[in-house]
Parts: sequence; C-alpha cells; structure tokens
Amino acid sequence: MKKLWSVILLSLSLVSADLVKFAAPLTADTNTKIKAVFLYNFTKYVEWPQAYKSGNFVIGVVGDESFSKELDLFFNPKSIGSQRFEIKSFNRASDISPCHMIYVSPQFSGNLNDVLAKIKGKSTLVVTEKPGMARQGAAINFTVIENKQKFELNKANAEKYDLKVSSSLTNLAILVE
Amino acid sequence: MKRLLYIGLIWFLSPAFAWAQADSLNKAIDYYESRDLVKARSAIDAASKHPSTSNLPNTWYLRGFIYKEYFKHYEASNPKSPAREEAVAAFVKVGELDPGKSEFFDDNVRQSLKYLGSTYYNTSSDFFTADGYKTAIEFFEKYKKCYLLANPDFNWKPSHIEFYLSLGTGMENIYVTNRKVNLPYMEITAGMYKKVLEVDTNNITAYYNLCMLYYNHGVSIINDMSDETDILDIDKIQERALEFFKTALPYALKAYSLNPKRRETLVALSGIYFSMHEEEKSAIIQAEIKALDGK
Repeated sequence: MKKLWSVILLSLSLVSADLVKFAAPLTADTNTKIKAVFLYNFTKYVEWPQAYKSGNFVIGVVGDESFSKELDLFFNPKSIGSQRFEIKSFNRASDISPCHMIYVSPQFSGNLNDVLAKIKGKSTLVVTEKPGMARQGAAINFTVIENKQKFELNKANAEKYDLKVSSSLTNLAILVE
Repeated sequence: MKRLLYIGLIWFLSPAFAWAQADSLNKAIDYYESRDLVKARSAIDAASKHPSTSNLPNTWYLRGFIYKEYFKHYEASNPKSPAREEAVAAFVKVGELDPGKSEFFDDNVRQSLKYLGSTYYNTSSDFFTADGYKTAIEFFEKYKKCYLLANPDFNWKPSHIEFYLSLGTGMENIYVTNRKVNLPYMEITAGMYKKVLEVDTNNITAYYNLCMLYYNHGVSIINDMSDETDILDIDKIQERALEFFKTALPYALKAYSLNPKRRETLVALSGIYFSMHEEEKSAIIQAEIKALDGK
C-alpha cells in the first residue's frame, strides 16, 4: 500500500459558463397587437349603413406605414360577414379613398381636419390616438390609462356619420362629448 | 498508503486486537492493496459493523478509500452511485472520530473529499431536467459539503453563482418549450436566479435574466391572445401581461444601474417601458442605445 490510488482532483467542468445563457427578448410589438384586436372589435360593435355591407371592408391608415403593414398581416385573411378586410395606407389626406374605418396616427393628428374634410358625407369611423382628438372630430380615440390601452368614444361623432355604436362598446368606453 | 499501513500495524499491536474478532479490517487492507475491491468492500462492511472495529477511525478511513475506489471502478457512470455516498459518509465519520482533524483526517482524506465533491458538481447538470432539478440542487449541496469538510475556508460562492445561473437557464429552457404547460417552471427558474442574488446582490446576469423571464412572459400573454378576443376580455389580458411587465421592471432597472452601457439591458428596459405604454421613457432608452451604437 505504497500510495493512494489516483487521488486526482477532477476539474469542475460540467456545470460550465456556457450553460448560462441570456434570454433574448421575444420579438413582438405588443401595443400594435392590442390595437389591432381593438380595431377588429370595433368592426363588430359598430354598425354601418346597408350600403356599406358589400364589397371589401376597407380600413385606412393615415401616416403610419409600418402600422398599416402590421394591420395587413393581422386582418388578412379575416372577414366580417361576407366582406373581406382590406388595408389601405395613406400618406396624405388628399390621397384618402373611401374607407369604412380610418386610423389617423398620432403624428398625423395635426391634419385631422383635412382627414375629416376628405371623408365628409361618408360613413367612416374615425379612430385616432392622441389626447383631445375625440373632442375634435374622432369617434374613437385610443388612450392609455394606468399602463393599459383604453379608448374614448364620442358617440355623437360616430352618429353624425350614420354609424350605430353598440351598447357593449359604449359601456366599455370612456365617454367623451 | 503509509498511514493505512501504520494504522494497521498499530492496531495489530494494540490490546484490542487480542480480543477483537476483527479479522475483517486486515482482510480489507489486503484486498484493497491487491485491488480486489469487491472483496475489500465486503470485508470493510463487516469491519464497520463489528463492535471491536466499528468505532475505530482507521476502519472508516479505509472504508472511505475502498468505497471511493469502488465508485471510480464500478459506479463512475452511475450519477446516483451508492458507493460514492458510502465513501463520503465514511470520511465524514473519520472527521467525527478525529475531532481535531489532525491524525486521521489527513490530506488524503481532504483530497478524496474534494475529488468526490467534484464528481457531484460535475454530474449535477445531468439533472437539469423537469423532474431532476431537486437532485441537481442536492448534488450541489453535497459538493459544497465535501469541499467545506476538506477545507472549512473554502469559498463556495463562485460555484454557487455559476451553478444556480446554469440551473436557472436549464429550467428556463424547459419553461420556454411550452410556456403554458410548463408555467410552474417560470417561478422555479426565477427561484434559481434569486438564489444567485442571495450571495451576490449585484449579479447583473441574474437581474437581467429575471427581468427577461418576466418580460417575455408578459409578451407571450399578448402574443398568445387570440385575434378573436372579445373586447370585454382585452382588458383582463392586458392586466395579466402588465403584472409581469411591472415585475420585470425593477430587475431591469437594477441591471441598468449596475451597468448603464450594457446593450441587452437597454433593449430589455426599452421594451418593458414600451409594453407598459411608457413611450417617452422607452424613447429615452432607445436614444441611449443609438448613442451606444454610435448612431
């Protein structure tokens, strides 16, 4: 028994640094997804006149091409009744063609009057996303309360375009006159 | 193994030998020397139980080495090797029977304990599984115990940090394979990273991983939200996601305070603020990212 049998220290290796990984952020614009679901719901809880119940259901986006692309992904190939959704992107008020619903981006809100002038006489639901817009002509204005996406509703601004807002939507909205 | 020989001789000459029927210990030495570990094990088992030898430090000293060698030769591939347990227990007993740790608890014992401890540490990652993580922790604790027995001044904190960061990553990998089904593993993962913070309150990796764990869970709640979600339910879903964004934020802020120039942290912090609709704060952090990128 001249020596100990191979008392050799093992190196501490299996639990190694390469097992430690940094988690990558999930790629998702959560806010866009939430707004898209809201917009989809608006199409269900608002009633358009009979004349608007054929052809594609057109959603216009003014001043935000990337949001328009996201909506395109979200709404394709959805439909409401027999109407397929169609997303149109506009960079100028003068370019706006007839829409069932139009989303005016915050950066384009300064031109809301131009948008309203363009849709005059048509049943278009105007959705904005800037404080005060529901008092300046928008029917629905996205707002944030306590870190959550909410919406204001100015029922009169919907009704003057011959749009009927359901009581369910009214009950959930922050009402603005 | 001069000490064993010495112990053996002393013991042979001792009065106890006259009355003890402890042939087993001598046989164990012989078998051990001739590397017949199976017989050495049987003999030392008998010696460990025999009243005349069961309280002798040299019995446990020899037992430790026999079982350690038995483990190496027959059970090295068995992560739950009983022989390894026996070896450690035997060396612990040597320490108990040699309270001053001067005569029997020698460098050979210390080195052997470190060797056995290392095997626990190295095999612990075999148990970074859904069912095995408690065993992994058990193995880590055994590793720590072995090293602390060998050297009471052993600084176990670096390996504690490495172990729990690795185990946390392992548990997170299980959780992300199916965030709904494996949801309990999210908190298990968090528990592992928090173990890191118990010994290193400024561990930026742990803070970052905790923030990403909760942030990504919040994002996944929104991502998983059906497109058909009724407007009545959107608020509840936002509420659930927000809870996780709020949980993530302090960890991101702490990681940021530890290193405001770390890009991953800035990206996470910006994302959390954005998801919480704190768009101005998100934009400020985005500007810091651009500055960091030299844009």
